[in-house]
Amino acid sequence: MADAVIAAIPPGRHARLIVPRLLQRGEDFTARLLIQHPMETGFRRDDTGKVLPANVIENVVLLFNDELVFRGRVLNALSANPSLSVQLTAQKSGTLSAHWRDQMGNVGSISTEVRVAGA
Amino acid sequence: MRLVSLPTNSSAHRATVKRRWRDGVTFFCRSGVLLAGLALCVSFATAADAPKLGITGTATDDAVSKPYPTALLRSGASFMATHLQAQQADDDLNPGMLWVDQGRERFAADCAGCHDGASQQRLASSLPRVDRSGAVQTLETQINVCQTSRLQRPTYPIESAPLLALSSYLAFSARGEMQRLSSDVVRSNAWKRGRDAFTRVQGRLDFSCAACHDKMAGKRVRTQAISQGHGVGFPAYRVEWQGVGSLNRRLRACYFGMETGVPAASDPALLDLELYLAWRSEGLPIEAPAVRR
Ligand code: HEC
Repeated sequence: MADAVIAAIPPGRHARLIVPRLLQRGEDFTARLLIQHPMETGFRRDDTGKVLPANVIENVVLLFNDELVFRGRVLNALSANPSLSVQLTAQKSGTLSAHWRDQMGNVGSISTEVRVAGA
Repeated sequence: MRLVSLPTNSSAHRATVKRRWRDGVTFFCRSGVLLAGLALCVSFATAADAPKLGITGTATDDAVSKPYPTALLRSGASFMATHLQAQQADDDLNPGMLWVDQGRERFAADCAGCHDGASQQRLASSLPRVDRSGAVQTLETQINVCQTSRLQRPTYPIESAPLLALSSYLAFSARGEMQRLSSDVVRSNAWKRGRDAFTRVQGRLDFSCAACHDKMAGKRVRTQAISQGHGVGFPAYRVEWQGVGSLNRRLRACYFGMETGVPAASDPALLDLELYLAWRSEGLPIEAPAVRR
């Protein structure tokens, strides 16, 4: 496999944050976050035998209109490219954003609009 | 008629295979996984018969029959555990969509000048094709042809992040389209080489691709379910890879399992094999990015 470059996942480079298109006031919904991240445990070695340094996402927060709605400490039991589902209740329209930081200090964020009918 | 030749087998080699077979059975019986052990025995037994089976007819016949008639075609997803099927079916959970998103951005920046939406949509389902020089163009090599001839840029390395993003996006765009190749591919030398590679017994374990994917689909090898071996889900997210990889990488993984020595990613024999596989899958819809174990 010598001539193939196996794509390294750039940490914190890309993510998806998905919410339902239109919500009713008071409706419970799930915000789904998918982050492209190697979640390197520190136990693996590369093809040359070198230990791959541990680097996992440590903190994830979700803000709604800059107000904290979820805070999570994520540790290395999670797989690569983790997916996170958070239950929220819709009260008004606004911006939902997710922010995370890994052990190497890489940060990532993504935001999406939450639309609540008539609010 | 014999379509493939067997490699020379010394008696010492056969003894090793037998010993492995016995070790395998005792190991599995001891650990109580009798069924897995049996599946292993059967796979060794059928490997020897494989060359006579699978392909009927020759490349010059008008109608070359396929290992699986359309009604019996099953995509790889149906052999996976239900949680992986669910993950593939839901774009919000399918991690392959991360690569698709990145490919969409790159396509809009680099490729949309020449390609409109419609032409791009069917592209992946009609590849690989055989070009005028007789060379096989897969989705990945076609992207690189555009890189050099249209964009005057260096080619992307095989399995590099930008190439996987673009190929994931284009395969995703063709999702639901039936795999359909030009009808004359069966007359190409590449197709014949691909068919021979698929049916030839090779490696230390006396396997051919057909021994597993034509004859053992639905059974297990160790803990893995064996599918019919279609490439329509690729580029696919594999849990083992913790990322998206191409069909080329999947095929090298199968060669690794067969203990043949793994071909280089750039080996043109892998392109022939991709052509033959796509012909064999005609009638299945593209389902990239698939989620596999
Ligand atoms: C020892 C049995 C075995 C042999 C021999 C074998 N494979 Fe596989 N193959 C597997 C297993 C197990 C998988 C993973 C599960 C599955 O079948 O999808 C797999 C997966 C695949 C897939 C992906 C299918 C999907 O939907 O994800 C393709 C394509 C494939 N093999 C092609 C080949 C080719 C081509 C060869 C010959 C070079 C070959 N295989 C040889 C066992 C085998």
